Formats: sequence, C-alpha cells, structure tokens
Amino acid sequence: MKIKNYQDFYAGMMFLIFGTLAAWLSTSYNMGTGARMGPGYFPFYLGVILAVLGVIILVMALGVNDGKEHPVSLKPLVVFIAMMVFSLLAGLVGASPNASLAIGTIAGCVLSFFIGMPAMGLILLSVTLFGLMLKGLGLVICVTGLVIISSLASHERRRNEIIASVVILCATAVGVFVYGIKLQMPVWPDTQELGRMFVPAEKRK
Amino acid sequence: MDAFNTLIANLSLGFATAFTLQNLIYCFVGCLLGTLIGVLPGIGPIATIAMLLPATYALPPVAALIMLAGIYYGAQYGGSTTAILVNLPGESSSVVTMLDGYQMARKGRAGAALSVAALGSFLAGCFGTLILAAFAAPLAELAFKFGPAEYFSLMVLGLIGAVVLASGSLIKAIGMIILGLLLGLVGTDVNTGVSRFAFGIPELSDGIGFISVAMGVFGFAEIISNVDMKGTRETFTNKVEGLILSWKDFKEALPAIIRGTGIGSLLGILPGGGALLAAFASYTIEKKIGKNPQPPFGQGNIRGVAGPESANNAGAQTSFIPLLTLGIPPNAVMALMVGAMTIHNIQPGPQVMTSNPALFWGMIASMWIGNLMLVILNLPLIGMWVQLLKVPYRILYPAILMFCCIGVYSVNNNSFDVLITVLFGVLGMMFLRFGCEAAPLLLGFILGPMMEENLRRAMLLSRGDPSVFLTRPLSLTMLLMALAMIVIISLPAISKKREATFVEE
Repeated sequence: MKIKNYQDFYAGMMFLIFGTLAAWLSTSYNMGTGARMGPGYFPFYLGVILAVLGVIILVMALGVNDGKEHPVSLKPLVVFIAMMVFSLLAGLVGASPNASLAIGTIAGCVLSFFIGMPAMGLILLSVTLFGLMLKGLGLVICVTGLVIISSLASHERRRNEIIASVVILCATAVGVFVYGIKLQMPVWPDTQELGRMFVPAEKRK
Repeated sequence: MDAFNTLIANLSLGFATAFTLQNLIYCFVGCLLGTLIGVLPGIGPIATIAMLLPATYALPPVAALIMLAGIYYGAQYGGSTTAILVNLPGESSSVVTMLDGYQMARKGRAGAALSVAALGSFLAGCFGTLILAAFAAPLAELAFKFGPAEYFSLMVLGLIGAVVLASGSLIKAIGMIILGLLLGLVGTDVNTGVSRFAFGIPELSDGIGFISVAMGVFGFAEIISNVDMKGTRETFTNKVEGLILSWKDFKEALPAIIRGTGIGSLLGILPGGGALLAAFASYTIEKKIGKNPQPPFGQGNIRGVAGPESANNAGAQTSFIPLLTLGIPPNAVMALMVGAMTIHNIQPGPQVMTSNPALFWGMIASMWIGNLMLVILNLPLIGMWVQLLKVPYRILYPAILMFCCIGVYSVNNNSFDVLITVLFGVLGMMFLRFGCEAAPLLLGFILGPMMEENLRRAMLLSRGDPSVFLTRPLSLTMLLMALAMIVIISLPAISKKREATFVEE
C-alpha cells in the first residue's frame, strides 16, 4: 500500500496516538455507569472516537492521489516527542514538575537546531528562558535576553536594530507593565530569588 | 409596542453604563490596542485577544468586557487595513478583502478602499448591534426552557457547524475538536474531585490555561512560521490619499454594504458562523450580481471590498448572540470571550441579562460606541498604521513575543504557564505541518467541560437512558440539523464546490 497524502497520513496517526493515549489513561479513573458517569466515562469515549477518526483518516490517506502537493514535515512532531520524553525522564529522577518541563522544553529547543528548525528552536528557547528567569533576573535582563535570542532567528538580523529594540522594549515593558498596569514583576535581579531557584527546597533551611 | 419600549429602556440603561468617562476610555484603549496589534501582518483577532487579555484582568468586569469587545473590533479592522495595504491577511476573514482591496491600493485607490471598508464596517456594526439588542431578550427566554439534553445537543450542533462552515478537511477538523475537548478535560473533575490527565502535577489541577493554548497555537506557531518564511513581501508604501469617497463610489458601494450587512447578520447567528463565512458568502453574491462590473472583480472593484467588509463586521457582531443568550460560543473568538468572562466570575448565559443587566446592555451599547470609535480613530490615524506596516517583520516579532511572554506569565505569575505555552507552540507548528486547522481545537477546548457537565446531567435525569437526546423535540431538531449539515457537506457535488470556493477565492 502506498501513502498518497502524507499530511493526512501523519495527522491520522497523530489522532490515533492521542486518542489511544487518552482512552488508555481514562481507564485508570472510575468509569461509572451511564446514569452516574465517573470521571473516566467521557474522556474514554472521546479517546475511542478520536482513535477511530484517526484510523479513518489514515486509511483515506492511502487512497487515490488527488494530484495535489501536500508538503509535510515531521520535525515539529519529533521536537514535541523529545520535549515529552525529556520531561518524563527528568520527572522520574525526581525533578519538580516545573523543572522537568523546563528541562524537556530546553532539550527540545536544542534538538530543533540539529534537525534544521533553528528559528523554532531560538524563538521557543528565548521564551522558555524568559519564563524561567523572570522572577530571579527581573524584567530588564529577561527582555534583553528574549529580544536578542529571538532576533537571531531571523535571516536578516542587524546588530544595531537589535540594540535599539532592546532599549525601546525594555523601557516599554517597565513603563507599561510595571508602572502602567502595575503587574507584580521584579524589574532588577533579586539575589534571594536566584538563590531559591538553584537550591532545592529541603536544603534551604 | 411594548417590546419596543423595553428595548429602548434596555438600550438607554446600556448607554448610561457605557457612556461613563472611564468606560469610554477603556473602549477607546481597546479599539486602539486591537487595531495596533491587529494591523501587524499574520496576527488575527484570536492571537490579538489572547495577547491583550491579561491587560484587562485588573479592570472591573464591565470595563474589561467593553475593552475586550473593542479589542476584537479593532483587531478585525486592523486586519482589513493590512489586507488592503500589504496583501497579507492578518486573519482568514480578510482574505476576501485582500482580493479587490489590494488591487484598489495598487491602482492608487487605497484611500477609497480603506474608507469604504470603514464605512461598511460602521453601518454593519450599527445594524448588527440593533439585531443583537432586539433578539437577545427573546432568545434568552428560549434558553431558559433548555435542559441539559438541549444544551448538549446545541453544543454538538455548534461544533459541527464550526467545522462544516470552515475551510479545510472536515474529518480532520472534527478530530481537532475532539482533541480540544480532551485537552479541556485536563485537571480536576468538578463532580468527583478526581484529578485527570494531570500526572500528579499540582499546576495542572486547575486545567491547562486557555491563554497558553491560544497563545501557543495561534501566536507562537504563527510567528515561527512567518520568521521561517523567506522572501520579501510587497508593502504599499505610497502615501494614502483620497480618503473621501466620491459620490459615484458611494452609490456603487451602498447596495453592497446593505447586502453584506444582511448576509453577515444572518450567518453570524448560526452556530459556527461568524466573520469568515459571512465575508465569503457576501463576496460570492456580489460577484453574481450585476453584469460586466467595472473594473472586474479581482481587479479592484469597490463592491468586492464593501460587501465582505460589512458582512464580516455584521457577523462579528451577531456572533455575540449565541454567546450572550445561550452561553455557547459559536466560534473560536467567542470561546476566548467565555474564558475572559469566567476570569471575571461571570458565567455566560441567559442569566447574565437578568442578574447583571447593566453589564449586559452596557456591553451591547459599547459595541456601537466601539464601531463609531473605529471610524473616528482609523481614518485619521491611517498614516500611523501605514508607518507601522513599513517596520520590517524582523523588528516586529521580538516585540510581539515580548507582549506574549509577559501576558502568559502574568496570568498566574509562574513560569509553568510559559513552559506549557512553549509546548503548545510546538504542537501548533505540528498542526500546521499536518494541515490541521487549530481554531476547532480552541473551540473544543473551551466547550469540553461544559459538554461533559451537560451530558452528565442529562443522563442522570434520564437514569442512563441515552434516548433522552432523541425524545426531546428541541434536542432532536438540533441533532438532526447537525446530521443534515454533515450529510449535505459530504455529498460529492457539494464538497467539490465547497473546496473550489475556498481555493479559488
């Protein structure tokens, strides 16, 4: 059997995997009966329907070629799986949920470089670092980092423009969000917070 | 006459609420910010609302909703400006505007195109607001007759409607809805307190934040694919002149505006309808009416801008009807509105009108004010938007990214949400590469818990007998309508035509 439409083929596979996963995870919750549904009931059947839809899409993708191009790329899927796997591994060796997810996303971003999606890697890495460090390093340093790293993703970056962007955006962020609508965010680095980020909770006392 | 008097009384309450200095300012700020972000190429209303939503958290509920409605109109109007001047749609509904609007701009008639878009949007907005005000009360009456079975069937109808009327593969869109429903179930089950799909992560016990989903799938994925795209875009850089419409243009555009408004108002109310479908339908009709249009459609005919622009604004307006009266979002933008209302502890639905009339009618009045402001704001400020469009994307996207990041972070003040958003960014890229539309996912995501709740209640009341959905007439009607939509759209003749409509235009 030859695959005629790779986009649909992989989409079908994605639905099949997500559906099976959801149905399988739901079986660990109480199913209940139709009249008194348990927490597992609705997601189980949704998962089953999704998996069936996935199979239908898969099979249809094997059918007649419609003569159109369907450009497909598995790279984002690979990155997503990598993020999940690394997060799980980190969780298994005892990292906190937040730290596990951070390790997973960073690993996925790094992987993006090696499989030819540098723009996605840089942009998502800049966002990840921003989220992780904001409490410790403060808005100014984080915005600077975000702008510099994400700007590198563009093919036509120019140094002076990046410098100007950094200055303007730092001023905007502090002016609008901290002084304007008064969001609770540190502007400058906070050494106590930084210490807390790298020392596990149980050793702090 | 009695109904008319109540309507007037309600509207005056609304205007009294909306016409306070504070609310006028929020409405203005909303329109301004919405246009500012919406004008950026590649950013549609969904991403704009998701991005600006955190800015409204601190406001009182009425002001927040007024500002959000302003953001929505602003974003939509900004999208048309971009479509006309840059030939790059900020959102799917301005694809249609682009066809003739950009051609008009190339022929030096950018001013006329922008004016007619503004005028059409304004007139359509006024009419849509009136429809909304007139139909809200009777529909809410009807909604009180709805039991859980009816609600469940209505949601099925809405979800099916949303995919049938959208572009792209039908079956993949249904898959995306179900995936969305499943994602919406993550977190603590309200009935039993069991934590589902949370893997013991405390941050997930409240569920995945809808801002994370919307921002990741719409914001980040869009930015990444735009940055990845090589090649330059043709920006219309000449000065925009001739904003005043000539009498001839006006005479030609007015009927198109009226037709567009009618079609848009009607299609907006339908579940799954809204701006996109309205714009397409209006363009198709304009093309059919009148022989030998000069210039031909696709080469800068003013009716090709006037009709769809009016239709999409009227549709945007009336798509608030199902949300405000039934509590069911008919499309992804309204789904975001549900999220916004929930944050302010307002459960959207028929009870809003009775329990919080000032909020309800104030919001409706502010819609009209918002439309007026857009005209006042956009035509004089058009020079500013043109300048903004000249800023290269490489400078814009880090700024957009910064607003996204601060927005996501500020929801709960934690880094976990930001990381989840990154994950959804990757998922969004994956959906793009696999040709799956993301809007149905967002709609399903919001409706997931509501659907489960109503299914549960309906089945509890019927003691586990699923035939309750078929024996109650209202519920049966809605399910049959959903079924009919799927059947009709799957007929070979229609599905071919549907494909052609979305491809060719």
